[in-house]
Amino acid sequence: MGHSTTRMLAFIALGVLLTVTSCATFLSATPTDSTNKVLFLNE
Amino acid sequence: MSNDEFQPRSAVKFSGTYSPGNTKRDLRAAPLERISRTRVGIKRKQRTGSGKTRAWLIIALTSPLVFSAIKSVLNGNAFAAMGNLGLFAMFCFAAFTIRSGIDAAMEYEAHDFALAPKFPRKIIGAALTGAGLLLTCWTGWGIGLLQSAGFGIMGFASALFAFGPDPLKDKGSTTSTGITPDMVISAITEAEEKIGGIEAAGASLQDRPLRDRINRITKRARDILSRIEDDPSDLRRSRKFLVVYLDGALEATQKYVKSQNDLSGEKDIYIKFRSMLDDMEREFDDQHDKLLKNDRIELDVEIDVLADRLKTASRL
Repeated sequence: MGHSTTRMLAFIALGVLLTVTSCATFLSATPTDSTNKVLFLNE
Repeated sequence: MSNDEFQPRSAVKFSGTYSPGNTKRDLRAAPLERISRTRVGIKRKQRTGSGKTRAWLIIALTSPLVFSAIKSVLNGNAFAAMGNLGLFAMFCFAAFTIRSGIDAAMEYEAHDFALAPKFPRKIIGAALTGAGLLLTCWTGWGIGLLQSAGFGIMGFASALFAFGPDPLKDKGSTTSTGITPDMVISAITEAEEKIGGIEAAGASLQDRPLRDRINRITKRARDILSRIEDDPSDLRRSRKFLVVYLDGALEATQKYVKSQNDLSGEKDIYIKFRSMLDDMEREFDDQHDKLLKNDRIELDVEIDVLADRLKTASRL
C-alpha cells in the first residue's frame, strides 16, 4: 500500500471519528437539562 | 514522442513549430533559462500542497459542536455550551497548528539546505486533535473515560498518519570543499533578509521604473540563492558577491527612499541611481549565468569595480 493511500485512509478515519463524535455530542446535548428546567419552572 | 522534449501530447496538440509562445522552440533557444525555469517550477510545485485544505476540514467536521453549544444555550445549560465552544476552539487551534506545520514542512522540503522547524507543529496539532476527541467523547457524548481515551488515541494516530510527522533533523551535508550546511543556511538566511529589506525599501519608491528594476534585481538575487543551494561550492565564490552587492543595493535604496522627496528636482541623482540599478541588474544576470555554467572565471575584479561604484552611489 502506497504512502499516499495510507495517508488518505488515515484522513478518512480521522474524518469519520470527528464527524461521529461531534454529531453524537450534538444529538446528546443536554436533553435532560431541558426537562429538568421545565420541571423546575413548573415547581 | 522523443524523451528529450518533456512535453505531454496534450500540451503540444494545438501549437505548431512557429506558433507564438511555442515552448519547444523557446527552450531550445535558451538552455540556461530552461534550467532556471525548470528549477523554479519544481520549487513552486513543492510549495503548493493539498494538506492545508485537509487541515481546514477538521474545523468543518467539528462544526456540529457549535450547534451543540446553541442547543445547550436553548436548553439553558451554559456550562455545556461553554464546554462545546471550548472544544470547538480546541479543534480550530489544532487545525491552525497543523496548517502552520504543513507550511513549515513545505518550506523545509523546498530547500536543499534547511533547519528542522523549532516546534513539531504537526505532531502538536495531532495531539490536540486526539485530546479534543477524548474530551468531546467524555464530556459531550458522555461515554466513559476509558472509551474516550480509546477514541482520543485513534484520533491522534490517524491525524499523525494523515498529515505526517514534522521534519526533525536538519537537512543538507558538508561538501567536499568543506562547506557545512550551517554555512549555507546562515549565508542564505542573511541574504534573504537583505533581499526582503531591499524589497521593503523598493516598495516605497515613488518612481515605477525604479521599482521595477528593484523587483528584477531581487528576483535575480533569489535565483542566485537557489543556485547556491543546488551547488554549495558556489558559496565561496558568491559570498563576497552577495555581501557587497546586496549590502550596497540595500543601503543605496534605503538612502534614496529617505531622501526622494527632497530630491524631486535633482535629476542627476535620479539618473545616477537608475544607472546604478541598471548596472547591478546586468551584473546579477551575468553572475547568475556564470553560476549556472559553473564557470571558473575569477569574479573578484568585477566585484571590486562594482563595489567601488556602489560606495560612490551610497554616498548620495
